[in-house]
Amino acid sequence: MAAEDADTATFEDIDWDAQGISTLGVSRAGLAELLSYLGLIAAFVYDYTWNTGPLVFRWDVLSVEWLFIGTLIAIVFHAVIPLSQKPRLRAFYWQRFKKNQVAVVALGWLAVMFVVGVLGPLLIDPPTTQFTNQSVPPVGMSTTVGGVVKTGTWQYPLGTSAKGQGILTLVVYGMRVSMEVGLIATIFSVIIGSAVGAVAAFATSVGRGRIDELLMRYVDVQSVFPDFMLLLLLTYLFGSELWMIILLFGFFSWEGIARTVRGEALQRASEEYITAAEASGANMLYIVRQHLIPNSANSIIISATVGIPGFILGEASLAFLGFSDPTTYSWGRTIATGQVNLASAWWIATIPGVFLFLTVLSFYYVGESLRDAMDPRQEVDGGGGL
Amino acid sequence: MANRDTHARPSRPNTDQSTSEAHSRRRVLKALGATGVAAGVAGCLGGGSDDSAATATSEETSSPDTETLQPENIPRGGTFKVATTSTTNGLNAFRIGDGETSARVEAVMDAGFSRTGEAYEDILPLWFEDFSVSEPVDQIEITLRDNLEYGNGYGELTADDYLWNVNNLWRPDWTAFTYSHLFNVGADNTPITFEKVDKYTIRETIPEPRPFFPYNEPLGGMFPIPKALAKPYVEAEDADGLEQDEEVMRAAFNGNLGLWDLKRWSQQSVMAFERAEDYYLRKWAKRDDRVPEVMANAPYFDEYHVQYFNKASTAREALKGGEIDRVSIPSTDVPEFRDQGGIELYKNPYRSWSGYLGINHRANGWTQLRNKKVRHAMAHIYHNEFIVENILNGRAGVQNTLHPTWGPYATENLTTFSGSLDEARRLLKEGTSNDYGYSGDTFVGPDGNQVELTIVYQSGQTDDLRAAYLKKRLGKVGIKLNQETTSWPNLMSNYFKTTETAPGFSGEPGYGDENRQPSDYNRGPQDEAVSAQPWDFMLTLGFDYGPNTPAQTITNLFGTEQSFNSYGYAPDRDLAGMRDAAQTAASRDAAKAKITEMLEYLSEERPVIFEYNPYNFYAYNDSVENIPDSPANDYYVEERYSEMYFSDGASGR
Amino acid sequence: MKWYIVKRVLWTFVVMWIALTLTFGLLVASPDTGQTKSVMSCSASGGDAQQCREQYRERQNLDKPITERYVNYVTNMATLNWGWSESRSQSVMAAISEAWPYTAQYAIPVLVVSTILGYGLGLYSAYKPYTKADYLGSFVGFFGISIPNFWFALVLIILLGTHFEFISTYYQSGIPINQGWASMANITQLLIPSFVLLTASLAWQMRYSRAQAIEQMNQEFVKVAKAKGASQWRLMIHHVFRMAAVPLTTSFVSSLLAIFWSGSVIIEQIFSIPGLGLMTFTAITEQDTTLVLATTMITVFLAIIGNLIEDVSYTILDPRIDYGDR
Repeated sequence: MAAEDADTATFEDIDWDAQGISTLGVSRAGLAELLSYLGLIAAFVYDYTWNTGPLVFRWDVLSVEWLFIGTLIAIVFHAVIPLSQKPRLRAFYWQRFKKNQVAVVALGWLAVMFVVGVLGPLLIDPPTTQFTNQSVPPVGMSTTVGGVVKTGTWQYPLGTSAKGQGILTLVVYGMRVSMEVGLIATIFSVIIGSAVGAVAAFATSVGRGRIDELLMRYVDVQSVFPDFMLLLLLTYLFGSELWMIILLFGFFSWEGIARTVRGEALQRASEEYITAAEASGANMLYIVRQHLIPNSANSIIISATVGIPGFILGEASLAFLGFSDPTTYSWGRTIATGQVNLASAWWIATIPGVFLFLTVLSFYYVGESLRDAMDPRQEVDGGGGL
Repeated sequence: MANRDTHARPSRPNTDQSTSEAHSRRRVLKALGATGVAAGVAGCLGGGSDDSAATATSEETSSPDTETLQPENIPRGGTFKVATTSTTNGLNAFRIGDGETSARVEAVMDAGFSRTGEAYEDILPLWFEDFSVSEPVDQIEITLRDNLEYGNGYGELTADDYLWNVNNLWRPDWTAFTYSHLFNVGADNTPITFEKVDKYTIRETIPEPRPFFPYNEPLGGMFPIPKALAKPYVEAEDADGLEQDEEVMRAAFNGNLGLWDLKRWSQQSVMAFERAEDYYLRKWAKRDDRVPEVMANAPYFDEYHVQYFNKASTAREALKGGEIDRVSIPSTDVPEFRDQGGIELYKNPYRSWSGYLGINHRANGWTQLRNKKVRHAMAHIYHNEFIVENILNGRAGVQNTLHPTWGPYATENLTTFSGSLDEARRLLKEGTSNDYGYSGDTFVGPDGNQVELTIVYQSGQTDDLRAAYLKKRLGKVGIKLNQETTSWPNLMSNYFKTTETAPGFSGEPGYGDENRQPSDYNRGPQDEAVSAQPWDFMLTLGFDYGPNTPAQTITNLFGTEQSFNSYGYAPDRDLAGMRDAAQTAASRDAAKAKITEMLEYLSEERPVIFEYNPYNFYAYNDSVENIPDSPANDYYVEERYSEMYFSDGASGR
Repeated sequence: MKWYIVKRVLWTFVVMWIALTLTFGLLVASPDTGQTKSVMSCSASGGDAQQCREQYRERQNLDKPITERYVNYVTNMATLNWGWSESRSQSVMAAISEAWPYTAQYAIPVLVVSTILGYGLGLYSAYKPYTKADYLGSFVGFFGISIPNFWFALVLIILLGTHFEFISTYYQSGIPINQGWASMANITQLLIPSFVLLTASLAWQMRYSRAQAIEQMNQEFVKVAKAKGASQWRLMIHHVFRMAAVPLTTSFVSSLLAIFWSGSVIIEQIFSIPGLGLMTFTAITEQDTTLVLATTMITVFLAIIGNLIEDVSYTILDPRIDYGDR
């Protein structure tokens, strides 16, 4: 009651210290994330300097896979945990997402892919080159390859490649590589893009427009360069290792995200809660991190989801043109090496091709539905207007 | 970019690409060009000791045509389309050493002659009516035919044109002509003397008799450019200008000198030739016994197209669909094409390219490889017979030295290896220094860690398998292999070239006190000059050579202070001296002993692990007639498009 | 606003100059294969490698100081003297003028068709979401961008070309020259390559227009128009489409470039069409630096001009955007 409140609430009772916002303040979740990164780095150092041979089960962790684990950690802490903490928001998004039934199926496929891709290589031996059992067709089929009639067996249910590697194994290992390519490159471009965009937007809002100009001009210049050609050129000159390809993809694709984030952030930067935060003493870094980026999260997620299939297909195209890492088993590489014999040993290129197709297709459907679900401007079938 | 049958040089195998070497006369001459020593011992070239080849199945052989048609009765017409996966720089007669031009130039200009056998006079005379070698072998007289005409009003091709070209285009420094070295002989580069005997006759003289000189004689493979055309560039010493002159690039001055005239050249698409109206050789077909009669009306196609395909697989699809008439096929596809209707196969096992596992003897590789026993271990581990049997499906010849088993110097006394891994382990232990040894199954080095070696190559169907094989086998003897793939230019510039100084060596690398640096590929001894990137093994890069001239190739590649000794191999015998002895021997027979000695030495030493020489397979459209018998009879057999025709005078589907 | 346009144009020149400099840097930094090849031929034939190299460098003016080379380079580029292509033995301008018609003949029609078709499908999808027709339409669109187009092209060649012999297995470049660019023969042989490219680019337009249309549909002015009694048809076409068409210019240029690069390189390789894509790819693999740089400059130029047109048309077409204070 008013009288009671008047008794207890006085100015002196406000504990400003407790309310103080520190720049580097981290929440509990943030602390956990930081610790996981540290743990990852420690494991990496251990594996690199002391350990030889597989680290966990049969898994000898490669450089790209370290990056992949780091990416997974980032996704867990920035997408999974926040979502799990907000059940209502989750339900809301799911409601809208469900409307596109195909997208739901697609999401299921992606989930399966993800699990198989992450766990599969832990449990199955990597594909080995052998000089017998080359170009065997899938089980139940019988074809003549190289003048020899070959019949499929259950030992290699999806057949073997020209080097005697099982197609099923190649597909499973390829799933992992596609995941890696898609996710790592995306995270990379998201990080750079949102940082640049948010900083640019905030700079304008506080009157330091020069920084914004500079950043956006740079984005302009970078975006006019033809990425694909630069990719070709750089991979041709410097080698086509997987991590290099991934980094190049990430580095040449963040312009779109930067612009989007900047647009979003510009809108929000002039809002009251930002002014309030500034008045309370928060500096640029804090505001960018705590306010601008999370509120542009929707746009980021939407652009990111659509970027992933582009990366996966891009890697396949590069493999076709001859620039792929021979020590990895990406789908693109299998398709590319198989397309030479497309007329005779069609399964080598076609089966991974089908998997690639379904995965990329699923990403597009999910991306589209995510946009429908999360973007307030995309009020389909229930919003205003028509 | 593909393997060029130019002079002996490092190159990639052509196994996945087509070589549309139409008139490959030049092939033989080019191969002899840089190597300098040629020899053919009567009878050894050809069918002979092909013991490692798979037995030719009946589908790969073809019986000779039961009757040879008279030139008048041969149907004429159609467009003969050949597929290629290499691009060309045009028909530049001036820059024939660069790029893919030579085979194309041969379509529009014949050149002096083409070789049909080892004896000096075994030639098919083209522009040269006569090619006589004196005894002792220090003089050659060449007589041109009397009806050779340039086009575009440049008049007759006579001895004067040749001599003018020698003095103004082929010899001078400013032109940087690729074959200028052919005009000198011997270790001290004495120039050959050319003199005009009469309007159509030239005499070449060398200071002392050299039995292999007729194989390196320069004029037979040259294309003289009309004096009136080249004169302004000569006066201005403008090599670039001449190179970029339209007429030169399109060989528009070819007159009646060749079978075809260039009709249209669409870059990276098709080079279209049309049948030359005048062709000098038709007149001689009936009069000259050495010229086949069928040339009286040659060629029998209206047009000849060299169609470029970026992907070899599409080219093969085009052949299967009947749209292309000839394509080269990889050995793995042979059975499939054999069974296909409407296709005729042609096998040519005489391919002068040597594939081997390159070894780095220099300081930035595994230095234990400098020990012969370790290399012998590698020869067991990387067993060439297994590779030929299983990776190349028996469609290649095993090589135990830098010479094919069908070559004129094939000898039985070569060192072979059984491929036994126990032997390999024993040799490894014995051959390496004391701080290497086996710890259980792993082969460890002085720091207690497993020995790790690196192989570098360009990724491709065959090379991936070769590398995987080596990795597997090394794994079994306890050594780990890292695979690095790269592009061909990168391979050449960062691994084959020796651009850096060895770590730990201060000062300028080079041989002797004056620090002699023979070339970019060999800038100094193995402990002084190294490549930009470290490596131990190398694939993809092989060597193109003429089987008639092994001594020069061997010396170039493995001799100390020689221009292509990029591997840093330090032989304990003077290869250059042996080569010179062979080149100045009294006769080719006398030289044989020396050359065989060199080959046997190499086989024992194994500076690189010799592997194989591949076979070429070509698939022709059924309707094309007069294809040479398959498999080819000997090294000199060529697929002469000039003698082929369509069975019904029409092409396409 | 005029100031804005002027400033944008000036900025365009600045960007071009930066791009030129960067490409010059690339030129200097990349290994010179022409030199490698030349020296190798030279030394293989017994010449002195050192001398060969010096001769080559002199011929190519590589021995001059870098500033002089830079000035030469920039002046040459500006005066359209784009150098000599080693791999094609012709001047770069000649190479480009030979190759571009082959690319343009299929790229431009594909672009136009995919834009119209894509926009149509996207609008329809926004209009009637989640219906069977919508699913079908999206599937067609997504199918194209999900299938690896090189695989698709090869399969079509094998099926239609070799087995059924409906089409030619490769592109015969003589046909447009001998029978005309618009002749039946030429069009037939372009059908399959164009189809593959079309499927690859359709979805982008579709998704983009769908998103734009949905966004516009929620705007106030649409509600007002509906309240005033406009029919569905008029609403869609007259209001929504017009507004959604504004960003049409952006996507037009950027999709042109996207198609151009990744699509045409692959398609032209497979079908042996001697266009710009194949030319660029070969230039890269043969390290024909002058040609690679020239094609880079063209794309950069197109992109810059595209951006300029986009910005300017935004200001002109969309009255809500005000650049007065920039």
